[in-house]
Amino acid sequence: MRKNIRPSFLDPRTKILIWLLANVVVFTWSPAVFQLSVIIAYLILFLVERKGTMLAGLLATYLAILAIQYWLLPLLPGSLATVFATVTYFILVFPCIAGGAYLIATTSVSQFIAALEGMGAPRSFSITLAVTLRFLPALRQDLRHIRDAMALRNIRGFDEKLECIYVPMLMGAAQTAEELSESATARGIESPGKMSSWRPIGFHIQDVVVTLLFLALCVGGICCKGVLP
Amino acid sequence: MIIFDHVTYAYEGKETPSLRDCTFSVKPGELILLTGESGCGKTTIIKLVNGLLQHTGGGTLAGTVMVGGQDVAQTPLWELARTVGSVFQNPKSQFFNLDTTSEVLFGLESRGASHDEMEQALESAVQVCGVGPLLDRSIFALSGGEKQRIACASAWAMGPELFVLDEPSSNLDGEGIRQLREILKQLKKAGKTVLMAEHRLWYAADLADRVFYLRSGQLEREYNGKDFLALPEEERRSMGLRSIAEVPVSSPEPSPAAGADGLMVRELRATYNGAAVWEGVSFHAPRGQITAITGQNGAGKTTLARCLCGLMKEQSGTIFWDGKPLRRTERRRKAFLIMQDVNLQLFGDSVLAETRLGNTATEQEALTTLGRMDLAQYADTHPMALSGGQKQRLAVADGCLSGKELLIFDEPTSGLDYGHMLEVSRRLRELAEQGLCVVVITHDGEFLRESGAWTADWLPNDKQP
Amino acid sequence: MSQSLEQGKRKLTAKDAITAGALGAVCIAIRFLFMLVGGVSPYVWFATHFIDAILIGPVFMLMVAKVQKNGPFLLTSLITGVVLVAATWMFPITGLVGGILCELCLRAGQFRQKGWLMLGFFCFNLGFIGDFLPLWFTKESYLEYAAQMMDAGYMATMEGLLTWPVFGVIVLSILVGSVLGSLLGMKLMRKHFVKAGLAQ
Repeated sequence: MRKNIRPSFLDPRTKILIWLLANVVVFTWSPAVFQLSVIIAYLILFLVERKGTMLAGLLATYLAILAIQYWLLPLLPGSLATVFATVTYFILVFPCIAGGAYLIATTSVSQFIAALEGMGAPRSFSITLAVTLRFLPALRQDLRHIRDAMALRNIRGFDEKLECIYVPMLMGAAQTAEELSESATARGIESPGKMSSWRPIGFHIQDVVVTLLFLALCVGGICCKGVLP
Repeated sequence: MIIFDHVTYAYEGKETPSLRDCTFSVKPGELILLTGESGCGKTTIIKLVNGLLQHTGGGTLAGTVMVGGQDVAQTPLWELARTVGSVFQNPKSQFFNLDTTSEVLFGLESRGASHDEMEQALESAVQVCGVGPLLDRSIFALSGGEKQRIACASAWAMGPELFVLDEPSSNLDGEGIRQLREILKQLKKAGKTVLMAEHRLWYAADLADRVFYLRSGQLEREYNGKDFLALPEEERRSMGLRSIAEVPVSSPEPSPAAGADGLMVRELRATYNGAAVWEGVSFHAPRGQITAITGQNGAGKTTLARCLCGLMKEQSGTIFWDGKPLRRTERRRKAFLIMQDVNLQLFGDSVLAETRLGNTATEQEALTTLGRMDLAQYADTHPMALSGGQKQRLAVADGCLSGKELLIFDEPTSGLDYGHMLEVSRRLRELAEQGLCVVVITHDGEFLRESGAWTADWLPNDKQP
Repeated sequence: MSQSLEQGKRKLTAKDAITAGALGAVCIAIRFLFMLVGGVSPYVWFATHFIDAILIGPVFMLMVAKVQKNGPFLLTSLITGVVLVAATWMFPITGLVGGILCELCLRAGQFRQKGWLMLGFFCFNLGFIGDFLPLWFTKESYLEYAAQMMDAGYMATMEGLLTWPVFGVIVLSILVGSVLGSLLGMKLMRKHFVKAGLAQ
């Protein structure tokens, strides 16, 4: 039973590079047209990688935030408006968020680590990064369990409550880290030499094309700064 | 394949060694079952074989452990990984990756294997461990049994000759255990050497070539596979071992008297992320009785538990208590839940403080209950310093002392040995006799039998497995 | 004995890296949560680092006790900066600097002396100040772009606050928060983590 490996469209290093370029487009306050182009470019990339659901989710979020900014905000009294203002911040950095989501959704952990090691990063860095990303969803689950347990006991007092949430969470994280490292070291994560990856990494023509595209958007954005809105 | 030569090991900071003067050898192709009461040293042996204690442990070791001709203490872990494949207890915390295929190939990627090597290993793992349908999926979406299969596949993919498994069935339900058993059969067929530590003997005892019985860190007895299977019941019980034959999960008790006391559930329906988890659920759990909720679908049972406790709102249907419908917030005050993963519900900084948290129990009452759960000597210990089985018993003690009338236990005996399982069943019977309503979610047939629980027919007939 | 001892106590083992990753995830979660809360008003935003510092104290202390080597804080600082770079590009930079300073302090105190631990923790928290730097160093362009989104009331308050003395107050608040956080951390260490055998 052969599993058809669909190779990733872009090498992880390219994805990192274009993400950095997208960041530059945003933080040099480039004209809107360039920021939009970056977003559209990412949407196309999502389509290419057949991540339709994620694409839909991101689009929905974007449109929702736009709706809040242009329809809801002007209707709200001042102080309430500032609460929603945080939300509108996301519009500005949406290209970065789209880029980050793209990176995470289309790259496997080992691809990422292999690419980082290709760039010379030490294994401890890649392991820490991978584990951090792997832990974040697990922490949410743990928090829910802890709050469930607390709801069933009468825990009084802010101090007590804080301690009761915090301590099991940290100990749980430390314990899981312990078990995870047992599992990882028993499978040889400390092997000297470079890590390989099941999903192949490597540069192809599309890496060059996409990088040039993002570079153009970046440069164009900076140059057209005073000219366009 | 394995040689233990007068091995004594003491964990860091502990004075008494966990393993004393242990000597044995294992031939290639044998399947050895390590068993004994909690704390007898089974896990210590496993971790000495795969090298975790020698290299990351920090305790003191005397004697030598040889695996595949190599001295474990002198060989780096990543090299040992080529000879020894490990599967651990907790499916949740073994995973490094977020998707299954990467996880299976993790060991190979770590050592920089080529693509062809990985392809071959994947094929082979799919055949032996049956993980074909599980590939390319998110790990978070798998059940406990499926996760353990991936863990086995991951160990297999590295092509070791020896497999060590540390209580791999601990967090699995009936279906998961059956799948595990299939993999063990495949391992045996392939001529691999297997060393397993287990409480639950029924699924592996007939596959074992030899069985080692440990007590207090010493290898007390060694049995030939057949002789072990022939052990009479009383002897098995006196050794503190769980049943060797599978005890089916069934209810020999007649239906309880009709009445409206205790918990009654009618036409309950719950949804998760838009899809129905279950619907049409109806059953009666009277006071004075232990009612068991069984069934294959793990997620469904835990959802039911959460719903009964008021931690989750039901979509439709009613829950009655002593004849009156009970809203969600009221249920929270009436019910207590002992969860599967007790780590996240132990809060105090000492066992005694933990048992008195949030309730009105006196110190004396708390100590008595702890004494019954064989935990009195740990009154000042931090809950997290206890072993898994001890934590489970502590959570049961919490339930006993909570003063609440509806107690729900989610897999309270999953990691317990025979003696402690009996203790838990006695405590639950006491609680029921006091007039409380005790609901237990379990797939432990032996526990059901000992506790005299009545199995609730909770799922509508068409959904029965 | 343990492998890392043979190769020299300095090298980070996989276990250290994984512990750093796990506890680092907790740090990121806390910081991110309060970053979102900070959107309510400039006063709240400026106070979030103070709160972060207090809450992250226990995490920091646990990490020091478990790893006892140079490396994890630099890694966590850097990774926090990278993951949250969407907020501002200054994050990875301040993360890098803060992380390095932190490691130096810890090494000076041999991972044990309380004074150095507190100082190291202060540097670690300073590493997160990246989200404030653009406000002070590129004041005009920040005000310009923020005016597009925030309402007049918010902007007025903000403009009034973007002075150097206020910046000083913020840094001071982070210092105080770090001290409190360290104390909280050490208390929880004694009460729970050491007692439970998680660390020494």
